[in-house]
Amino acid sequence: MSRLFLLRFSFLSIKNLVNTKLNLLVNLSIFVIIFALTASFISILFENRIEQLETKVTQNEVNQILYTKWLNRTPKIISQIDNVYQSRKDETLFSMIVTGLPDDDDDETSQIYSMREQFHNYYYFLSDIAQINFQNIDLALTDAILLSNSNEDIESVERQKILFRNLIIEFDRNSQERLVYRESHDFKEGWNKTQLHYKGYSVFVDKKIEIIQKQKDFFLNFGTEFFSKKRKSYSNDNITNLQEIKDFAKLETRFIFFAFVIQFVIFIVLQIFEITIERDRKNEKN
Amino acid sequence: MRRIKNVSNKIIILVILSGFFNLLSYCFDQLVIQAELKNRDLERRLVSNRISLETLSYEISTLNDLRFEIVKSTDYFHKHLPTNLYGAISFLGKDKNSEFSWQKIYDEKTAKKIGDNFLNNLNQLILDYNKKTDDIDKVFKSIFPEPVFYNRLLGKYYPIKELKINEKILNTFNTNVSEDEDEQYKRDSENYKIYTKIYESIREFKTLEYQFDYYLKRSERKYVIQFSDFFNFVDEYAKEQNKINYFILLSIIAQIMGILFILLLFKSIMINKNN
Repeated sequence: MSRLFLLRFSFLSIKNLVNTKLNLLVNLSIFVIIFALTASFISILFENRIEQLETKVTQNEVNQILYTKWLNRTPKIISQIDNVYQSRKDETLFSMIVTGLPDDDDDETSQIYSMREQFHNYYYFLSDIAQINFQNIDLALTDAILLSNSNEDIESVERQKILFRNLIIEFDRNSQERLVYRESHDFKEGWNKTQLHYKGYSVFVDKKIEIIQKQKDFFLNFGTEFFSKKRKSYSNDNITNLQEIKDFAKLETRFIFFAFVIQFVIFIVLQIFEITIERDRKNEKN
Repeated sequence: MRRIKNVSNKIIILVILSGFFNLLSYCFDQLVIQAELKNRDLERRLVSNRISLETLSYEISTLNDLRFEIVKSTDYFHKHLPTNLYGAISFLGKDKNSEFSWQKIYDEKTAKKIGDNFLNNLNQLILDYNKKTDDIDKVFKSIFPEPVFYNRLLGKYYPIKELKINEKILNTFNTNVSEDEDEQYKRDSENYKIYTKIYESIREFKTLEYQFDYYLKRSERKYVIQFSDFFNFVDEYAKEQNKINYFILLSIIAQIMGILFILLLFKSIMINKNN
């Protein structure tokens, strides 16, 4: 009878042991699950912030198209303007020798290198160049507005817009004065007088040169400066954002590890409690 | 009867919750798949939009360069045409009635050499001009798919090739001066016709600038619109990316919750059994 009792007791003890182990396993699983849940929520919080930073990085990369275009294009435009001056200088280098040749009746005009070619044609050439530059300035200012991300930028672009508008007014006024001058001449007066009339275009040529010089100054001072400043600013932004993403990823790992440690401690404490209560209960039963 | 008694309300709720979260996890998985499909399409559009923006930017730069090239070349041709033409006539033609003669400054051989040089330059100018029209045509075709570029002038359309000058145009150009006034008048008229023809061709060539200007303005408008669209698109793309991340995380959470309730169910059954 006592043997049977002992047998029954040992069976109960095995059952108890299995139950305790199973219970521990279930608790451990629940702990792992709660830890996974916490990690997921922490991930959601951090991923949201990382995603915002990544969007900023992508947007900055889009801006890259704009400033890279103008950083490549501005020196080319400046060199085009310089070439205009240079070719004029080349052209006029020996012009005095040519115009001084006695190829016609007076010394003031020349048939080989006429005033029409010297001033009238050159005036139109400069006028076309100035118009192309105006178009480039307009494009550069549009892109500058698209790149602006501060009040300071907007104000700087606005200042340039005013200068641009004034330059167009100057250009139009010059063209208008040239038209009036043209109307004042009777082309039936003869070749020589017409040539002298063309000589009068030198005033308008000088004004156009002055306008083109201001356009060059725009590209030299504002164009290069603004777009290189933007490149620097956006590159720095990107570096900061990427660094922040890295930092967030690190912080996320630390947070998850920290959460794990806290939960593990809580789990251990709970297990101690559970075992103590279970033991007390058994002692009471016995 | 005893089995029915064992199934408590708590167990039923846990079973329902576990099933619900597993179903939710499945739903989020499906949403992830669908968002991924959409995202793939958005990624393709992101790349293609970026390429088209860069192409447009390249187009604008090329059109600007073409305009500059037209202006520069026209100025060059218009400047060289009268100088070379007049130079050739002046140095090669000997007008016996004129008080002035180049032979008073240069010896005959040198004067002829200078005159020939002007004539050669004139010939070369026509070749250069024709070559320039080909160059402009080629560059233009490299950016625009239109097979033939037309130049609009007074409401008419001309292919760019028609702007070319006949290379034999100078065959009838006569630099000699005739003593016969009628004959000289004929020669002068023919020479002037040649001059006018070349001059007009160059002038028409310059009108290409207006055509490029039209394309340029069209491209600029498109560029600004595409750029702002692209910015909005990047926002949409970022939102979609965010969505995927959220769906994945929510799916994981739902799965975890499902397992949690299964475990709680298991624990509950064990407690019931122990009791």
